[in-house]
Amino acid sequence: MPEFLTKILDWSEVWALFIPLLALMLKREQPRFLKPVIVYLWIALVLNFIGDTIGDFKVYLPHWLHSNNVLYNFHSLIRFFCFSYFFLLLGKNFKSPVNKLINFAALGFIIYNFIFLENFINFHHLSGNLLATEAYVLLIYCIQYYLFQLKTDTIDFKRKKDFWVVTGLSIYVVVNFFVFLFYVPMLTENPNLSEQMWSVHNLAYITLCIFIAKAFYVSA
Amino acid sequence: MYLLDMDIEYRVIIGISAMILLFGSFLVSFISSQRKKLQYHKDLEALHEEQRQTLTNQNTLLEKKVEERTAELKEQKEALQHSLSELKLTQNQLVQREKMASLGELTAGIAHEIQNPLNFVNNFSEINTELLAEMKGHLSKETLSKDDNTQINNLVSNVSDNFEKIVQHGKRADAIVKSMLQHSRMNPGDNELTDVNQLCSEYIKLSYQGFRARNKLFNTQIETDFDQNLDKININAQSIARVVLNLLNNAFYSMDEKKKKLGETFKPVVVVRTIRESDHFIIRIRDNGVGIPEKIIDKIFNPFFTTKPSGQGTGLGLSLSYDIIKALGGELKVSSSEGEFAEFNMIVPIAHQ
Repeated sequence: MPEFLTKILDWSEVWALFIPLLALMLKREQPRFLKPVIVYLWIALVLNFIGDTIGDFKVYLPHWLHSNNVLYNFHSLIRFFCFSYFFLLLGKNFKSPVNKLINFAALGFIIYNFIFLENFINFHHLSGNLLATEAYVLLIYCIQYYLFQLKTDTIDFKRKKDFWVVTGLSIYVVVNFFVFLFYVPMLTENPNLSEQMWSVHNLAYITLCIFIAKAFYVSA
Repeated sequence: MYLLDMDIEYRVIIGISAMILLFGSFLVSFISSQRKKLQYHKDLEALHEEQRQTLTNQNTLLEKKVEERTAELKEQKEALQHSLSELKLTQNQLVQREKMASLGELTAGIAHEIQNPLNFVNNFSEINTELLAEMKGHLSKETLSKDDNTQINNLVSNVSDNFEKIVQHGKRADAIVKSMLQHSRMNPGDNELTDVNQLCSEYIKLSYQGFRARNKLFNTQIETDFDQNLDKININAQSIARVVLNLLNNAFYSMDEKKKKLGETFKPVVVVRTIRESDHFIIRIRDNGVGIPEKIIDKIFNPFFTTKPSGQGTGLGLSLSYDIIKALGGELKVSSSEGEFAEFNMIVPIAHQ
């Protein structure tokens, strides 16, 4: 892959976020349940911008700022809370005891992970377990969403803003569950493959942003 | 710090297991929900079937009821048609009865009219018989004296005068009969040149005598004011005569009723007037009887409406009179003040006759 294309793809975590934000500028009036998504977009923009800047310009930065892995961990937690809240706002279906159990289990595993398995502020690599767990829980939410839609016999999905967000998120988390799960061991076993896997993550992220933009743009 | 390093094989197993678990759960949930949905649709179908069955039963019941009701209505219609036929028959009978009542009233008048000349004829015939017997006595003598001759001449003269009177009264009776025959021969639709004033005059006499025949104590003053410009007019005289007779009878009845209340202080007066206008004529009959109360004045032309006691009136007189005048293209108007007078105006067009 040419160098400039790799650079563009590396920075996609920043510029891809401008797609939904631009759509938001055009369609400012959005329903309440999209507010967590909007908050996520702004936080993600800041975190990703700092992360990518650190990644590309770390030679100009002090030593303690040479790693951006902790930002990915924060980003993962922020994404988890924002989209969980988005699903909660979608309706009472997501407030069931099973969902509460899943949330507590995920939170428990994350705490357990950072006590016994991984270090949250690991300088060398991001937390694959955290990111994979977050992707898996969000995937459960997405699957639940589709299940509820099938149960309620929704006819026109195209005019539902939540459908576009969930579809974008589904694509992102399905792809990245495996990326995050295998990324850390791949770094040692096959660094080239891990880099290419991260490009796949970036493509999935662009897809997520496009779908969120579509959600903002579509008229309910 | 990197506490636990997990092999990639474990991660593959965990990843695949997680996905199998997730999609397996999704599949189970989906199938379960579909089964519930299918069960729900089955229940719904059963409910629909039950409702359809109920609806079919109700329809059948409704059709049966409609059929029953139709049969009932048919029976009612037939009964109503039968009633209508009977009603028409009764109506015809009542009209016939009214005609007969009018005829009865007329007959009494005619009888009275003919009775007078007949009395004259009988009386003068009896006198002539006596005079002729007396004459025969004089003529039986062998020799007639001068006095006998004078008496015979006088007797002949008297007999001759009486015969003249007999012929005169005979002709009068003949004229009355001819006049009646003339009217009776006419069809209701026939028009003829009629002297309306004379017709009124005749029917005033007939009506009055007819009423007096039934009520001998009744007397009234009859004033007439006939328009001399009213020449012979081509009209249906029989119809006009029927209405005049009817109105006069009512007038006499009304005045008689008032006299019964007020006694001899009341002087009944009936005024009959004819008026010739450019395209119509009016026959006005006004009496100073009991009048018509305002609350019933709109109903007096309704069929079977009467203020007379039961058995004395059919309630068809004014109704038929109204219909007759309407059929002639005219109008029958009434004005009255209760206790003072009643006035009927027959307005009959001339041009349409």
